Amino acid sequence: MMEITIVKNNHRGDEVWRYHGMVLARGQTWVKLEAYFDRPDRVTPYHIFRQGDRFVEWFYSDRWYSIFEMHDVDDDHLTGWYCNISRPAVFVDGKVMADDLALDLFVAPDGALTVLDEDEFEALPIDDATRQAARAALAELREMAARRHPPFEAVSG
Amino acid sequence: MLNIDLPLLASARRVIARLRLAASRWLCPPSERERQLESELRKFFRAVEQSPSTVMITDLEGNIEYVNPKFTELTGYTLDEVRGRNPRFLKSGHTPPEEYARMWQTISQGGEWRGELYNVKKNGEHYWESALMAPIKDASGQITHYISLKEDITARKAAEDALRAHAEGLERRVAERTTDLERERALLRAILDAMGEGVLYVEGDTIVYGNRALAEIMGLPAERLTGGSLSALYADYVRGGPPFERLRAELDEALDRSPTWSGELVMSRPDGTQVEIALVTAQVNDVTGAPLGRVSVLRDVSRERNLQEQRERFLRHAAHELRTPLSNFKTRLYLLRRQPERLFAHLAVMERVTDEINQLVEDLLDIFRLQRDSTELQPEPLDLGVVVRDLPSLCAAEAEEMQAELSVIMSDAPVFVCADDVRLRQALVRLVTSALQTAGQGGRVEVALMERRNGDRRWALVRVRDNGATLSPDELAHVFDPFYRATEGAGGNGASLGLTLARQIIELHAGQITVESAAERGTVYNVWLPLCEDCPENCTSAVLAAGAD
Repeated sequence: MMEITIVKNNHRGDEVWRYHGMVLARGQTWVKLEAYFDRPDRVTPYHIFRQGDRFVEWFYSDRWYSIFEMHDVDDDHLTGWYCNISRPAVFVDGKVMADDLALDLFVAPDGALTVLDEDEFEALPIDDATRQAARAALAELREMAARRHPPFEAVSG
Repeated sequence: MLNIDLPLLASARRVIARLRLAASRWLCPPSERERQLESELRKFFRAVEQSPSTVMITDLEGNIEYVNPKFTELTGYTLDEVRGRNPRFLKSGHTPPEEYARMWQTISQGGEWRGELYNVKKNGEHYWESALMAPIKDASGQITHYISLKEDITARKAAEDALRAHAEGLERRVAERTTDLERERALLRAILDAMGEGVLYVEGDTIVYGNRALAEIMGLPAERLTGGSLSALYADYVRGGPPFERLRAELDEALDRSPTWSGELVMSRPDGTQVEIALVTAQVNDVTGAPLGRVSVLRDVSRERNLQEQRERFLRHAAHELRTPLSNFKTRLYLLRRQPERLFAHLAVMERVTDEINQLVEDLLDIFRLQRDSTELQPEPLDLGVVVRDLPSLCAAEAEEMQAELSVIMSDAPVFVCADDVRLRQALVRLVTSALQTAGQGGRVEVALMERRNGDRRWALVRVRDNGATLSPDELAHVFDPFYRATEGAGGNGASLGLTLARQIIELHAGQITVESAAERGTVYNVWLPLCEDCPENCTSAVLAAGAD
């Protein structure tokens, strides 16, 4: 397996975080990788992120989102999907970089959808085309989850 | 002509004697006219006797007939001592003979002579006198005697001499001071012109002086500065600063409170380049404390700022680069505790992460070491062909990982360079690794070795070409910057310090590395190294000797 560095940028393209992952598969416009949640446990109303949770992540260079399939650190059971709305990813130099646009979607294993950080997204100083593309991406993700399109095949609801 | 009818003593006596003779001859008492004449004569005689000037009467041969008491008082000679003598005994030898000849010629022809004489007294003391000499004529106009009226001017001459000496002394001091000032001025100018900082002296709005460094900083000829208007200069070249009048008001206020004012400005040179300037301004007052002008010292801080930014960027990037694997390592440790059953999987990642950290630390150390000291190198005659031929095996792991094709084109003849084998291999491996990563999955990298003439020298040229993404001009300008690719790149290699190190090593070998990129040709790195024959040690002979062995 090949190592890869994931660089998360803010909407301006400034780096805010980076972490390591291992490439599981890749295509011309996408990469599937495995990484681990490397921060302390984080409890949110919709999900509990635990340090060491295994994430299987899909990044696309032709789509305005990335999808993280989350597995529990202890028994690796599926805990949901976390979808980041972002500009299309850029693959360079053994890295995948994406500019985050704040808007997120959490898909629970039973298919329940929670849109996150809409207020933050609305406040972003981005152009209309970007905002429109982000909203379209969110709609596409909702549709994919509802239709159990890959990688949402395991949605049980 | 001075026609003195002075009834001097001898003449007077003779006249009186004649009058008495006439009176007795004519047996009649002196008339009223005669009494008046005698009274007049006595009066004149007393005047001469009491004159503050010396009076001397000589006969036509120049023999003294009369000197007055003032003469005796001045010279020490009495009338009896000098009567019948020629006045030359008074000569000191100071007055040239020609002057005496001129004097005698003048008075013997009935004229007056005026002049100054430097004579000697009876006691040997010298003195100056102002003299008026003239003939004495009788009623028929015949010259019967000569008279000299003289005044002691020794004190005046001494005062004049002292004054002249003083004036000369002053002139000499002025000349010396002028020389000193010129020397100091030349010294000051030399110092100011040798300074790295710009110096600007302004009176009112007029630039009185600007040194060479200032002209260089501003990219202007020095003549453009001196005599020019400060406000015009400010308007023409300062960018983004406050309006000139506001800045001046700020300066006035600041200099009222403290001796100096410090600030920064951005200036745009005539060639369009920008320069950041830090300046300190101080008030210059005259000796009475009245404001005279202002002097400013300007320093180009652009390079300093740039270096500081580079340093900060380097540290920030280094921290990022180290934080990522460390974070990964920590996560794996955490997972190891939670998932002991996956021990080997996590250990394998930790081992790779450790290697990555190690590589990064080694790179950082190499960069610092090579920046500081080139004695790290151990150059020796080296067949570059051997190094290039080894590259596919040295980079096999990266090529395999990228599933890239790495080919080598060799020169027909050996190409010798004087180089540190280990370091040169390190540079070329890092370069090829970068090219492989730029080429991407399934890409192609070609390394060619050749000899080329560039200018008047022959060089070894290693050309590394990849078929990856094209680099923009901006990327090409920064491609060798530390960590540039790691955070800012849009295409290129993944070795965040690899290209930086490669360039450092090549440059330490007196070589050069250039990069060009075009859509059809991909990205090409050209590594130029001086051939062995051009190296200072001229080790070709050593190479040939080694070959012969």
